[in-house]
Amino acid sequence: MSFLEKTKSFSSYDQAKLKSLEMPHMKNEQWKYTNFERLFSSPWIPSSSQTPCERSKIDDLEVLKITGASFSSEENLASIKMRKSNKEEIEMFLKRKHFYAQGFLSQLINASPTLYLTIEQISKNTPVEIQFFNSSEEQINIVLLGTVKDKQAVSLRFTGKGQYHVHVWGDLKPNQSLEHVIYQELDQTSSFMFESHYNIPRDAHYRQVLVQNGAQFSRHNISASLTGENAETDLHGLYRPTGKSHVDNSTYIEHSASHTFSRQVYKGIMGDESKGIFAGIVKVNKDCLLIEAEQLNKNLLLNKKAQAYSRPQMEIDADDVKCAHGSTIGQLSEAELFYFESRGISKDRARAMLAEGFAMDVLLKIDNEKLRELTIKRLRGLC
Amino acid sequence: MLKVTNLHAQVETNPIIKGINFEVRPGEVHAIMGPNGSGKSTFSKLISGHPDYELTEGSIEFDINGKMTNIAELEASDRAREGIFLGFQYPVEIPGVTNITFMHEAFNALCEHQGAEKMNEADFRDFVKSKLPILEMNEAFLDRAVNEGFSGGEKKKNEILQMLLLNPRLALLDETDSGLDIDALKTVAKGVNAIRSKYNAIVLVTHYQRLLDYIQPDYVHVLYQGQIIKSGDRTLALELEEKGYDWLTAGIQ
Repeated sequence: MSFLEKTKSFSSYDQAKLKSLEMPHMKNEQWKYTNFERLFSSPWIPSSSQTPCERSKIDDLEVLKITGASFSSEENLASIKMRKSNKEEIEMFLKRKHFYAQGFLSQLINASPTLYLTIEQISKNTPVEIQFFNSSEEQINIVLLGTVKDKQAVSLRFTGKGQYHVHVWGDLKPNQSLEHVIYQELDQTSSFMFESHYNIPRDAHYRQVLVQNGAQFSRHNISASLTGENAETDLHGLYRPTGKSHVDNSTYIEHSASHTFSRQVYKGIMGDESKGIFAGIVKVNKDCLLIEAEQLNKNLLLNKKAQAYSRPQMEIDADDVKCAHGSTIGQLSEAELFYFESRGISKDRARAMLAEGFAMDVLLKIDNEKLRELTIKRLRGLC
Repeated sequence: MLKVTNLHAQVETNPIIKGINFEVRPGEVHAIMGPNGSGKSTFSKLISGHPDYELTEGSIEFDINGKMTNIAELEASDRAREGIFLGFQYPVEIPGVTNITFMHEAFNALCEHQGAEKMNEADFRDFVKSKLPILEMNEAFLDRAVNEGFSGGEKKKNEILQMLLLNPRLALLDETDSGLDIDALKTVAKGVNAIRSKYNAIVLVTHYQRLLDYIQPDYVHVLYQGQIIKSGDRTLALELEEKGYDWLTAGIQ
């Protein structure tokens, strides 16, 4: 189904509005590698489907499973409350400026069936996991808005299949700290479009670790604005495409206050004939002093036909800053492989262990111990 | 247990080993000495199955289940599981993989090959801990990434630790003494001597006779330009220490 056909169900007002806005296109620098329309080729999920949320536990981590786009009214788990977003919250979200697609994405979401959820922290930080599951190929729009009380860690896990279009947005308040661990393991027919943006004021910290294991086609737009002194953000990612999968990561961090810090480590392990892309921008605005920014992208190609594209960028309009960026693309070292083999470890096992070793430092960036251990176990296929 | 016959080998198109005959029986310790570039390291890598070296002539036979078997076509990992161990001159660093995970994997691969039950993590840690005092290593080494940030001496001790855990029938130790101070050398030698038995054999590749004061060889061979030009008992090493290699190599060009 073409994107145009798909929008025919929209009201004529919405159709006209979308037409007036610029649709992300490969001739646009931000979308150079990814065909936007491919992320929107399935029909919308019918809003009628109603599967109740399921509760479960992994050790003592509370898990809420949301099937398709079904959510009744309110769910309380551990330290958070989840509910459908109210009108004001939705309007606020739709007014946001999207760095990667201006008003187009907001308008698209506004016009199509979307599940808006608000996550509120209500008591002392206990990590939780929200699992999104779908069993059909439809398009699902999900917008997650949220507020934090002081410090919260949330795991968002995507399983099953479908065309997920997910936005995670929020404004932290001074001194608040939020961590998202996003684990995507959709099947090979799926696509995943993930966009997140956080505003980080004085003394606040936003951390995100995004692990991308599945899906045929995916695109991440991750951005953060550091707006007050001592604001910090850690945005890290691990992507492991196989087969003919395509994964495109774009990050944008804006330092608009003095004494702000950002760190990024994105690592790609490309197997088979897959393609992994990283394009990151760190922007330091004029008169912002004592900025520290690190941006690193490392790629490991496991196959001759695998591809990696890496574009770390910094735009610095201030003087007194400490900024570093780097990028590597390489293969497994023959010397390292032989070392394993000389100890009786087979070549395949050696490759797997070296790739896991390469990935490990991204997972070690997960601050919450419980989520860190769970994610490492998952990556090793142990749960 | 190891019989090398008329061995010729090359790297890319450069012939490096030019007709070596060499035999090792259980319980023996051999030292291979020789000047730089004589082919010593190549020889040990060739026996352990390094993919960069191409065997062009001759054979490498190793005792597998009581039968001398040509192992030239076996992968390095298969040779290792049959009991050939290579101690590296320059052990590589493996970021992101802890020492204990690496050793555990190797140990269990060996168990599996021998049809023995695999060892669980906790038991394996206890087993490794029991070997640490021999090499004067502390437990912290087990949880660091393999060789990452280790000093030269620590890397060599780590090689010998792995050897103790895997208990190979044939240990090829490539310049295990290089870069060691005298205390570390003694410790490493103590580790090597710990696996000496009538079932195991050790081949030491070295430049200096110093190591042979601590690990006494039964045989000493001099490798030069890809051939063994002289073999003898340990007094040959002392003679080399005194006179250098010139008196042996003078007539060969």
